[in-house]
Amino acid sequence: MSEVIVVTSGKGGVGKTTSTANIGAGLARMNKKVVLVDTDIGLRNLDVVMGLENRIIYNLVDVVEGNCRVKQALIKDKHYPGLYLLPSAQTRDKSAVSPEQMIKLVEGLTELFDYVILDCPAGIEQGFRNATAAAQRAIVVTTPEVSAIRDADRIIGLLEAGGLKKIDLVVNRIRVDMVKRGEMMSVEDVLDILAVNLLGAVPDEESVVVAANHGESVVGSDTLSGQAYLNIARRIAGETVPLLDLEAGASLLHRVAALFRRK
Amino acid sequence: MRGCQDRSQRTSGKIAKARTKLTVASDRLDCSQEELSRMQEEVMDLLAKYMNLEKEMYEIRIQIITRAKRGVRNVKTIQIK
Repeated sequence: MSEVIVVTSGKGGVGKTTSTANIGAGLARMNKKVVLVDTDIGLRNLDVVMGLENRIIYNLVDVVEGNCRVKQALIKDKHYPGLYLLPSAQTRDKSAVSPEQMIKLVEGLTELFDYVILDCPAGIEQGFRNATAAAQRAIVVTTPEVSAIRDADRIIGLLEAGGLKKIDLVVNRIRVDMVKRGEMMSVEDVLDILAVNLLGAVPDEESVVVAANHGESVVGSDTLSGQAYLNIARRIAGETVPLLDLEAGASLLHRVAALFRRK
Repeated sequence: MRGCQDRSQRTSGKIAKARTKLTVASDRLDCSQEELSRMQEEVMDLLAKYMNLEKEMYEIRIQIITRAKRGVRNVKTIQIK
């Protein structure tokens, strides 16, 4: 039985696309068949994050308009045999696809894959409605910032109103050193405000940026963020995985520095 | 309630949390933060009339849940005066 998941946030720039790519890689690593769908028509991003930008021939709009078959538009990932991308169109806009067309498209994909993960555009307009129309569950990505949490709360409200029952939260870009100093909201603080289930917390690490620079995922690398995303993927697949101790990753230098700052 | 701690004693993380809480609550109810604060204070005063509670120890959270069938149109059926 395949599952359709939308990754959304409301606010832009919190890490939806990076999270989509890494969660997809995590699930593919567990030998699941996964397709990542970039639903941000006009502002395509997921292809570059995955390093597949040179392989695009057809896109989502081509499939919807019947210019090609869905299998022709799917791009195979470089690293994981079970991972595919359905890229978005760059020269069209959100109105090129309707929620009904998206539902039909996703229906076709569920026959081919274990997981269909939809990377939602920022905002709450048509792009958001398109992406959420076909989803069975949602992953809301936020960062520990006032603006991102506010938007996440609004998104959760809209998803609930739309009848989506399974809504989980990913808190991205946690800086343990700043949380310790009290200069950043902790994961607990965020959960206190947004009453939804926590799927995982991802630390703010350079490795995420470096991996994205190369068009690769951090999953599978020996980093805390890579581990965090893999754990998120395992929880999506139904495994019970204890929460990662993000402090374990703070380097000795950080810890010593934090010790001095506390005075 | 808010503002019980001296501002200089609070870290920016705590300030961020308090601001987020207030923003989210006023968004949910579609009313201004001032109105919400006033409403919270009034509800607190009202409760204190009947219950023996220390105002500083508690926080009023207001959540209005519609009994009507779920749907986008029903999200904001309750208007703040």
